Amino acid sequence: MRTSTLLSFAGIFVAVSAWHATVAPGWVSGYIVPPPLEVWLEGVKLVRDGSILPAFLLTLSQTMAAIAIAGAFGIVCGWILYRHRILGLAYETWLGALFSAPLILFYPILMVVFGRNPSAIVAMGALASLVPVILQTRAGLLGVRPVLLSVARSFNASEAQVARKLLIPAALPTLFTGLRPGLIYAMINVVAMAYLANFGGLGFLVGELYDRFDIPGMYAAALFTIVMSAMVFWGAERLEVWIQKT
Amino acid sequence: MKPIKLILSSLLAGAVLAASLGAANAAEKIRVANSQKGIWATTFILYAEESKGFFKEAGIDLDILWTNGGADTQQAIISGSLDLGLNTGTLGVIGPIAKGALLTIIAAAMTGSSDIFWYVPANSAIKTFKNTDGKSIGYSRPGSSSYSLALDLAKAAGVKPKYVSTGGPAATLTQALSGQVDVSWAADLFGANELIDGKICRIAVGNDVPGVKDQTVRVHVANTNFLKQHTALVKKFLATYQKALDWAYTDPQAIKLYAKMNNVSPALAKKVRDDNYPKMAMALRPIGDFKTSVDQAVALKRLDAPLTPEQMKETLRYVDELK
Amino acid sequence: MSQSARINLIRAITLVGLWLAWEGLARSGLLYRGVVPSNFSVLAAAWKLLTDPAFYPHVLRTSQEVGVGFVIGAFFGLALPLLIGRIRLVGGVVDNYVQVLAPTPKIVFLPVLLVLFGVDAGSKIAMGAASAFFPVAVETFAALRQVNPVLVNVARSFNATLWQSITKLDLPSMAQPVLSGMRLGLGVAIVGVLLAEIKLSNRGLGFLTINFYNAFHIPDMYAVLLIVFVFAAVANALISWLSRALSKG
Repeated sequence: MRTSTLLSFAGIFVAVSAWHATVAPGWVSGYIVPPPLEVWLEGVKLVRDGSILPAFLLTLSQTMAAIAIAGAFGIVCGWILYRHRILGLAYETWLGALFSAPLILFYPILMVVFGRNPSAIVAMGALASLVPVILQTRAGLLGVRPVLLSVARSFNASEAQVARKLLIPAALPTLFTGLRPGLIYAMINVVAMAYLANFGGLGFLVGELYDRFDIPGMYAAALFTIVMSAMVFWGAERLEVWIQKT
Repeated sequence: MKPIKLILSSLLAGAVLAASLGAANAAEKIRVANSQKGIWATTFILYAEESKGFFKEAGIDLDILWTNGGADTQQAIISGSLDLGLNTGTLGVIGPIAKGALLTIIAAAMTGSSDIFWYVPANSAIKTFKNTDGKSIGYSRPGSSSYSLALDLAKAAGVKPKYVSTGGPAATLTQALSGQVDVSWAADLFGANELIDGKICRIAVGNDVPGVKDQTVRVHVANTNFLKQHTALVKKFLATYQKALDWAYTDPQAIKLYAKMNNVSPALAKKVRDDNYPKMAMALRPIGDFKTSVDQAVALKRLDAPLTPEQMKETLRYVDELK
Repeated sequence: MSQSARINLIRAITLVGLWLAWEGLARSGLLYRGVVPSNFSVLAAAWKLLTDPAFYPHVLRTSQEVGVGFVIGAFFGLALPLLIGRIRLVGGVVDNYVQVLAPTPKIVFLPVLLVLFGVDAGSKIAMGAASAFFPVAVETFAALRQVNPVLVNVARSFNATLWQSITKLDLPSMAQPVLSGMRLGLGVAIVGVLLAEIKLSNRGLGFLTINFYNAFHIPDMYAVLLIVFVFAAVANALISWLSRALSKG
């Protein structure tokens, strides 16, 4: 095992020990910061009673639906902005500004429009990840080496052929790179809306445990969400690397 | 250096002196969590304070945070970020108290539940709770009286609906009319105008639940540390609260302010107030039918086992001690 | 027509088109009453807010929470990499943690922060700090790695203290990326604080937003959000300007 991986695990061990050391002597109320063991046991209970895994699957499926929608629209828009340079230049700064706009603040509106059901959450995720996908797609397409395009054109390749045989394979890796920030924004907003609106997957579960005063459970669910999302992103990164190799 | 040191130290001394003088005359601050601003039971103390300043007179600086109820209020008190929690669901506090959270019941807030009702939009197919199988029923927040009553009403009707936390009555009305929830809750004067206009219809009232009339569904709580360190202050608070309550039922000014806040005529306000909140229902003690609340907590898995009579007595100890 | 003129024309047409489309949707009655309000009603509501003295305590409250939260988060985001980033092995490991944790949905820590810091300004500041920390830390770690290793060795060979190393070597060469991280950090700090206020508070712009929504005063809700967006854009532009000014000097 590489030293750095070993150290990473050691680091986690140190952090958990520090946590335990802070709580054990009772400087902080055990209600406010439960000891790590209690959190772990509650976490196991949550897995056993079937609350946490279905919640994770629900969050994941909503995120995937959101990124699928955002991907479809976003890649097309990104393509248009690339193909028609002038449009790309005109909208560049606006999209940049929208990129960091807190769209999550509009979640109540989506609830009225879509009703209190999963489509509202998927819509939120899609809306939030649309701009990152558009920007990344355009950047990716712009990054395709111009000399390749010239060569293709010199063979009198039609536009469609250029797209099919050259652009898409060249841009595919970057398209996936474009989907990854989209994935991140989609998941963040899906979880956030579930927490704020009190329905859905992991976000809702964490809020619910807070409301039920199951504080150790709440810590467990929060940590679980962080770990699970980190693993999803890591998985996406691995996938991206594999695609780039093939 | 020397002149600066002199100036700084005299400034410091002056500040300490001023602070101590100020402290001697300052009112004692109590940070209070209250919920559902606008309904009579929770807001009458605001009307009293505006009109008569009872708390100010008693040397109490009241700082009220209006929450959506239930767990929001309860968590605020448990974490110590607020001192007293008013009008919070009995069902919600039993669990944390039994688990050792720093929460203590200090008085009854509402016994019986004539004020909470459930309604549907006028064009709904639902006519009574019996029609709500599989439908969504709104309540404020987990741990509130609207939650426990909704559960009781469904049980009494023999149905299994879905429960949705819709927040306060205003937010709930929004969700009701935009079709986000099938059956919605409200209390007191909320929705009075919509009821009159025929936009919504009532289908149930809290007191429809058998036995609820004698059960204290809402209580006042305090953060345990705050209570132990400031017992006299809490006692003074409750005495002033009683004074405000007495005033609110005798002075027509209270009805005027209540009607104004809810956008209805004083006549309607008085009628609804008298129907929903008989003064006896708001007595500070005793805690009515605590055993039923405990049993409900067990049924809802908020308690692992019922409390023994000694434990129940211990839980309610301060209610009499603060008289 | 010159390119910049065409760009401006495109933008102008788009703006007008969006305005009209919105207005059309608002008046069509397609969506539930008023959830897409007329542009005019939003602007009128915004004007009403800006001219209402009771609005500004909320602005002040949110600004304070964002300000303090951002400063705390950015400080630690800067300090952590600077202090341990170069320590063999440990620096790399912590950098890894920060990178792995950065894209996770930190909203799930809000209930934890509510329990830890209470329901008042403390939890909002904590949320702002937790949000701002990550972009700043990620950028600082990355920038640290970019500092010319030759310069690092030179500093070492002169036995530079940690403080000297930080002030004379790291900070000057890292100004750009760090400022970029701070710009992102400020943005997420604003969102974090607003979301905390939306969940549980009785003051601030997030509180106003959810309060208006609960009472279904939708134009007022949009007005608050409009003001927030403008405010965030201005803050963003200020940092951009600062970053450009620093790169010139």
